[in-house]
Amino acid sequence: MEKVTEELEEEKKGWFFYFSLLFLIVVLGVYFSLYFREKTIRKDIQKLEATLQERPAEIVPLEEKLKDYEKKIKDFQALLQQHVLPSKILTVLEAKTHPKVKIKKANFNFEDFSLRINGVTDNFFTLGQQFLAYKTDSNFSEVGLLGVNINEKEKKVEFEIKLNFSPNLVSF
Amino acid sequence: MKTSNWYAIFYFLLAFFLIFFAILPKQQEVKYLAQIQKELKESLKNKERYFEEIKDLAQKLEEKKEVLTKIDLALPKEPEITEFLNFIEGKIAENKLFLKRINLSPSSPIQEKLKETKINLTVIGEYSDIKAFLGSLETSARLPKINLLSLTPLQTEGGKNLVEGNIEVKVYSY
Repeated sequence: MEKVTEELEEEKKGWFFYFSLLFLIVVLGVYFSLYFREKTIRKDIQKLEATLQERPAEIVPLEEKLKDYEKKIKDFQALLQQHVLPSKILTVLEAKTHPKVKIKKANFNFEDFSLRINGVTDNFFTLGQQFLAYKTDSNFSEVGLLGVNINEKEKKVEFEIKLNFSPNLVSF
Repeated sequence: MKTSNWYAIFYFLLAFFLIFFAILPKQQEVKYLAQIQKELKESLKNKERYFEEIKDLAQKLEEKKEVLTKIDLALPKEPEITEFLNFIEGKIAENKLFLKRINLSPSSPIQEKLKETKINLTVIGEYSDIKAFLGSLETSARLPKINLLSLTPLQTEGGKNLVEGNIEVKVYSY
């Protein structure tokens, strides 16, 4: 009886041995599978990195061309925005100038949208009307009389008016 | 205890040792590398998409050649001043004006690539003709920017009310 019990004990211990061995084999198997997987991934990463560095030959000139045009289009847009149509303000000025006022000189500045007018008229009443005509026009602002002079010889009133005009008045 | 039992315990402990000190770190490493691989694949996809977009944009740009020609006309690679002066000369003749003076400033860069050339013109003619001349300048494809304009009526000559016009024009190039 004792002998049978001893044999059974031995058998149990033998089972533990095979289990441990199998467990170790499985663990080693998992380790090597992870090892090879890591190797494959590393290779793939290297390949991907190399591919990412590559630039197809036809793309570089296309990129250059697009960048050039992008800047050019932006500059063109800015040019269009600052483009002015001076003939438009001339038309407005024709309509706003008193028939009895003679313009001797008109200086337009399309950078700061200002205008200086040197003119001659018969009397102060006409000058007042002219001044008021500019002052009440919504296209003009900061209308100011810079100087008035009486020409004794010709019996005329000479004047200089400065005003600012709306950029919309000459916009494209 | 039998030798096989010692082996069993040794294998068992070795297996545990490998799990904690080899498999788990390796698994972390693989996980980390797999994440990098995924990100790189995504980057590659984005790059391919970017190349496709570039090709697509270039194609669209080719289709809009007419617009590009207009832009190129307004912003030529060289100042092309002689061509512009030729245009001015033609418009002066067309509007029956007299060109009294013309001054040219050398091209100067105002921005990266963008250059400007200033031209000062003095023309004499009837007011309506000067106005028409300005109109032609305004609508020119070269898109000249009229900066300053000065109009001075001159003494009446043969029943004609002549006006002297000083015009400062800027043209741009690349």
